[in-house]
Amino acid sequence: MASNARRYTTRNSLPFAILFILGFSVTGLAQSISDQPKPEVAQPPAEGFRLTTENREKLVNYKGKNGIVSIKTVVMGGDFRVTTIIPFKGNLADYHHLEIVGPVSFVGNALTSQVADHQLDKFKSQFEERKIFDSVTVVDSYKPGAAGQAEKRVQANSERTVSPPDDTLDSSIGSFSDMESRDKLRLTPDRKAEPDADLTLVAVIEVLDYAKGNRIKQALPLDLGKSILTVRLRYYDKDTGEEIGRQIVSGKSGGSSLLGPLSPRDALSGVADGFVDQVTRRVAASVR
Amino acid sequence: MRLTCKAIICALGVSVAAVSYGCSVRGVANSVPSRIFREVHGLRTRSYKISPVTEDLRAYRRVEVRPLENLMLDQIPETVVTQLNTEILNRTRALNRFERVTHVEAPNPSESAVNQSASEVATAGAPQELIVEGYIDDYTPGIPALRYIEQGNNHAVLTLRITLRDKQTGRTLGETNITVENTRVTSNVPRMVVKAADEVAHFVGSTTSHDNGPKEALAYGK
Repeated sequence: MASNARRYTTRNSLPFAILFILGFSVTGLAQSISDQPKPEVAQPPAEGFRLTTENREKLVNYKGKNGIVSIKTVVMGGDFRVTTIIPFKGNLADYHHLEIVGPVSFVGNALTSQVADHQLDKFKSQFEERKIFDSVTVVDSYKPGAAGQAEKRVQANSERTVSPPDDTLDSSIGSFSDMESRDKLRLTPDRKAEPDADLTLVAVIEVLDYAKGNRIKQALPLDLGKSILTVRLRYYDKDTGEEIGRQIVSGKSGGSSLLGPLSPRDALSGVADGFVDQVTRRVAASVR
Repeated sequence: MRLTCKAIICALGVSVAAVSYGCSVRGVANSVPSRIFREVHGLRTRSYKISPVTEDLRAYRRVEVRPLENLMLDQIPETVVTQLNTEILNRTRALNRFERVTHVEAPNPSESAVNQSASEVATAGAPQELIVEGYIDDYTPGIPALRYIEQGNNHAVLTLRITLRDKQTGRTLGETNITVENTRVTSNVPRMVVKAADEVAHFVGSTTSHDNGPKEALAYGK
C-alpha cells in the first residue's frame, strides 16, 4: 500500500521534475551560447587605418530595415528603435572614411571598458562587412569644431590640386622616366577616378542606458531580465566639425521572441543593426 | 487512391488545427502572467550614478531649479517638457527640506564669471545654494498598439541627466542618470513624466538629507 502511494507521488512529480530539468538546461544552453568569450582579443582603440574595399554599387537596391517589428525580430528578438533628432545634412556619399569614437558613458560604472570595447568591435566589424566606407577606424575621442582640422584639410586639398603640375598643357616636356611613370599610371587596371570629395564622417557614441540582462530571468514569464542598450549617435564632418546628424538608437532583447532566451541576439545586436542601417540607407539614398 | 488522398488531407487538417490550437493556448498561457506582471510593475526606473555625491550637502538650505536642456529638440512635445519642469519644481518644494526653492527660466550668462570671484569671497555665514539642472537625453512615447500584441520595441522611455552644482563656486557636486520606462498597456506618458520628476526630487532629497562622505570616515568619526 505504501509502495503504491510512493509510486503514485513519484509519477505525479515526474513531469514537474522533467520540466525543471528542461528549463535549467535550456537557460544554461542559452547562456553558453550568448556568453561565450570571443576567441579574438578586442583590439585597442586608436589603431591604424584598416583598409576595406568600398563597394557601393549594391546599395542601389538597398531597402532600410524595420527594427521595431520584422520577421527577424519576431523570431530572434533584438529589436531596435531609431529616433532622428537632427536629420542628416549634406550628401553622405561624399564620405568615404568613417571614424567611430569610443562610447562616452552616461551610465557611470555600469558600462565597463570590456563592454565598450565589445560594442566598438561589433560596430566596426558590421561596417566593414557592409563595405560602404574605404576605411573604418576606432578613435578614442573627438573634439568637434577644432579649428586646426579645417585648416589642415584645406591645406591638404590645395596641395593635392597643385602637386601634379606636369599634367598641364603649359608644362615643359618631361623626361623619358616621367613618360614611363605616367604610362604606368594610365595602364593600372584597378585605377579608379578620384572621388570629388573624400570626407571623413565621425560618429560619436554616447551610451544613455545600459542593462546587460539576465537570460534566466527572461525565461520566467514575468517580463524581467531584459537586455537594454540606448545610445545617442552624433555625426560630425571631421573637417568642419559641424554636427550633421543626431540620432537615438535603442535596442532591446527581452526573451519574448520565438527563440526566447535561446536567441543569440541581444540589445547590442539591435543597436548595431540600427546604427549600420541608418548610415547605409543615407549613403544609399545619396548614391541613388 | 482517392480515399487515401482524402485521408491524408483530413489528417493534415486535423494536425494543423491541433498545432495552431496548441500554439494559441500556449501563447495565452504564457502571455497572461507576463501581462499581469507588466501592468503591476510596468513603470520602472533605472538610475546610474555618473559622478556620485561624496560631500555633505546638508548645509544647502536653498535650491535653484533650472529647466532641463532639451537635447531631443522637437522630438518631445513642448507640453511634456513644461509638465516635467513644473513637476520637478513642485516635487522639490514638496520635500519641505529647504528654506527656499526658486525657479530660474534662463541662467544669467555672466553668472559664471561672478561665481569665480564669489568662490573666493564666499563667507561662512552666507547660505549655500544648490543648483538643480540637467538634460533631457531620450524620449519616446512608445507604440501602444504594439504593446497590446506584445511585439517589437514598443515601450515609452524618458531619460534625464541631472546635475547638482554649487551656485557660488559653480562646482559640480554630483550627477546622475535617470531612466523611466513604461511598458504598461493602460498607462500613458504623463504618468511616466510624473514618475521621472518624482525620481529627480528623490535624488535631490536623498543627497541633501544625509552625509554622503565615505563610510570609513563616518565609522572612524563615531
